[in-house]
Amino acid sequence: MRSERPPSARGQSALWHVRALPWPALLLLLAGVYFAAGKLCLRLALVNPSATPVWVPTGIALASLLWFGSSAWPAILAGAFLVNVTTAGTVATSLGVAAGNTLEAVAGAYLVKRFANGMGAFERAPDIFKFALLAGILSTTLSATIGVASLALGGVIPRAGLGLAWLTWWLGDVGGCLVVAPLLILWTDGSTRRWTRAQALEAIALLLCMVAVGQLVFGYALPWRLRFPLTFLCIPPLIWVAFRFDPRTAATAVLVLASLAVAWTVGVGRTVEKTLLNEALVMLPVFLGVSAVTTLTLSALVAEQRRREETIRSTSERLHEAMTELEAFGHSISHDLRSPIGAMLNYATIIEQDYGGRLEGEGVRLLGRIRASGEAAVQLLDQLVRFVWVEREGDQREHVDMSALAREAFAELMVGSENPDQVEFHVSELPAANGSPALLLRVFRNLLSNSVKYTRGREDRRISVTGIASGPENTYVVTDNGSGFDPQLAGLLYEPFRRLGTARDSEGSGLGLAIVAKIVRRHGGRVWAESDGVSGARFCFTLPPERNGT
Amino acid sequence: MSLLPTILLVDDDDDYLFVALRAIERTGLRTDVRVARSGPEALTLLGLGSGLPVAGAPSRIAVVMLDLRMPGVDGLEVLRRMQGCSRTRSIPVVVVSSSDRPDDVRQCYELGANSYVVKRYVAHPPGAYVAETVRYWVQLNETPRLPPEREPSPESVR
Repeated sequence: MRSERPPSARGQSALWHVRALPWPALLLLLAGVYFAAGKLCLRLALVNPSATPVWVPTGIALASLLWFGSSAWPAILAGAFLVNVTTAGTVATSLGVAAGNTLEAVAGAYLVKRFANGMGAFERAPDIFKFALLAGILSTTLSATIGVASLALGGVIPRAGLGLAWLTWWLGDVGGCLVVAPLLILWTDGSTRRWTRAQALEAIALLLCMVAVGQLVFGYALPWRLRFPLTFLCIPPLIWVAFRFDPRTAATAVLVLASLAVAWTVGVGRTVEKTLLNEALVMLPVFLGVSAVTTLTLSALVAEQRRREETIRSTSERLHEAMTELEAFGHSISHDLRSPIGAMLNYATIIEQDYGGRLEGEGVRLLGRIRASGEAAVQLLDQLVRFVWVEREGDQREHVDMSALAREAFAELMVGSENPDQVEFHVSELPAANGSPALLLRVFRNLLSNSVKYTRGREDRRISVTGIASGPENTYVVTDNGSGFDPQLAGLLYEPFRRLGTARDSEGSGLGLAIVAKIVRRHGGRVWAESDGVSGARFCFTLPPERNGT
Repeated sequence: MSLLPTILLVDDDDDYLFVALRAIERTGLRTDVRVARSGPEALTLLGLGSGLPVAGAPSRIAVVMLDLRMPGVDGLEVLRRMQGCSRTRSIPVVVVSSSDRPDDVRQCYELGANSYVVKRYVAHPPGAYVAETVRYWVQLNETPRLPPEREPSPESVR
C-alpha cells in the first residue's frame, strides 16, 4: 500500500496561484505555454520541421495533466494545433498531430496516476522506473505514430524517410517526457528548501563542472567523432548532484545538461555532414533520457535514505526523551510516592503500638490490614523502581564471576532471615559471563528470593544454582524443591504485572521475575521456567558467554 | 549550653522527623536532638550560616543525620560546606536518604559523608533503623572534640 499525501501538502507554490485561476483562463494559459515551448523547440528542428531532439511540450503536457487533471486536454490540443498549423502542413495534418500529442499526454497521465504514484512518481525508485516505461517509452509512441502518419498522409514528409522521422519524433518525445516532466513536477511539489551558503557555492561549482564537461563532450573543443564515446564524462557530475542535492536540483541539473547538449550539438552540427548530425540527434535523446532516469533514481534513493535517517534520528530522540521521562517517573515514584505511603504505614504501626490497648479487636485487625496494604504498596513501588532501573543501568559489559554473584545474592537474602541455616544452598562452578554485575546480581537476588519464598514450609529446603557453558550460550539454572507452579502457566511467569493468583509470585508484586526476564533479554539471553507443579521448580536463563580477550 | 551529645536531624519531611524523633526518644539515650528543616537552617546550627553564630549553637555534635533532597540548599551542598570548614570537617555525617542510587551514594562518600543509610518505610518498629544508627554514633563511636569556638570564627564569616 502506498500512502498518498493529502493534496493540501502539495502545490503550495506558484502552481497554487495558477490553480486559483478560472478554468477557461487556466486552459488558455496552458495552451499559450505549450505553444511558446513548441515554437521554441521547433527552432531546433533540423531533420524535419516537426520533430526535435527534445520535444519539451511533451513534458509540459504530461505535467499539466497531472497537475490539473485529464480534463485540461483541450488546452494541449489547442496548443499543439497552433504550433503545427503555424509551422508546416495543413489544418488537417495539424489536427492529426495535435490529436496524437494530446492522446500521448492523456494516456501518459492516466498510466502515471494509475501505476506510478502520480505526482509522487519521483519519490521512489520503482515509481521512477514505471514512469519512464509507461509515460516515457510507451505513451510517446502514440504521438510519434499518429503524428508521422498524419504528416505522411498529408504529404508533408516523404514516405521514404518515414522510419527515421518516426524514430526522431518518438525519441524527441521520450527526451521531453523524461527530462522536462520530472523537473516540472518536482519543482511544484509544494516543498520549500533553502540552500545554505555552502550548498549554494557547491551548486555553482557543480554548474561550472557541468558546463565544462558539456563543452568538452558536445561543444567545439573536441572533434565530432569523439562526442558520443565521451558522453560517460557526464556521469560524474550527475552522480554528484544526485548524492549531494535533492531530486529537484538533480532534475534541474539534467535539464541544464540537456540544454547544453542540444544547443551545442545543433550549433556544432551546422558544420558537419547532415547524416552525422542526424545520427547525433537520434542518439542525444536516448542519452539524455537514460541520464535523466538514472540521475532521478539515484537522487530518489539518496533522498529516501535521508528521510529514513531523519526518521531514525527523530525516533531515537523521542525514545531518549521518553526514557528521561520514565526515569523521572521512576524517581517520582520512588521518592514522592513511597514516602507518604511509608508515612501512613508508620503511623498505622505507631497507633498499633501506642494505642493498640484502647482499640477493640476489630480496630486492631483493621490497623493490621492498613499496615499490610501499605507494605505491599511500598514493595510494589520498590519493584517498579527496579524495573525502570534496568533501563537506566545501561549496557556496560564486563567479566562477571557468576558463582560469586549467586553466593553474594544468597548471603544478602539471608542477612535479614531469622534462621538462615534452614535453607540448604548449593552453588556449582558457574561459567563466567559478560555483563553488568549490578544487573546480574539483581537476577540472582530475585530468583533466589523467589525460591526462598516458595520453599517456605518445607522440612528440607534445598536451593541450588547450576550452570553449563554450551556452544553459543551459557545456561544457568536455579532449582528449588518448593511448591512449584502449574506447568501450563510457565509462559506467563516472566510477564510483567501478571500475578499468578494461585502459585508462584502470589504474594509479591508480580515484577520480580519480569525484572529477571528484562535483564536477561537485555544481555541477549533467554528465560524460561519448568515445574511439575508438585516437587519444585527450575528457573533457567541463558547469557552469551564471555568473549575471549575481554 | 547543653552538655549532652547533640544529634542534628536535617530533613524537610515532617513524617520522617516524627518517626525519627520518636525512635530516638525510645532508645532511652540521653541526647540533645536538634532539628533543621532546611539546608540553611542546618548550616546556621553548624555555625556555617551567613550571619553570626547563633546563641545556643551545639558545642558537641555526635552526628548529623542529613537528608539529601531538600529544596534550595540540598544535602550535598551542606556536606560540601561542612568539608570546607576545618571546624565542622570532623563532625560525623550520616546521609539518610530515600535514594539508593549508586551515584548518590558514591557522591556522598566523595564529599566526606561517614555513612549512608537508605530510608526504610517498612520497619518494625517504625524508625528502627534511625534508632540503631543513632545508638551507634552516640554510644559506640568516638568523635574528636570540636575545637573551641573562636570569636567570631573566621571561616564562618563570609
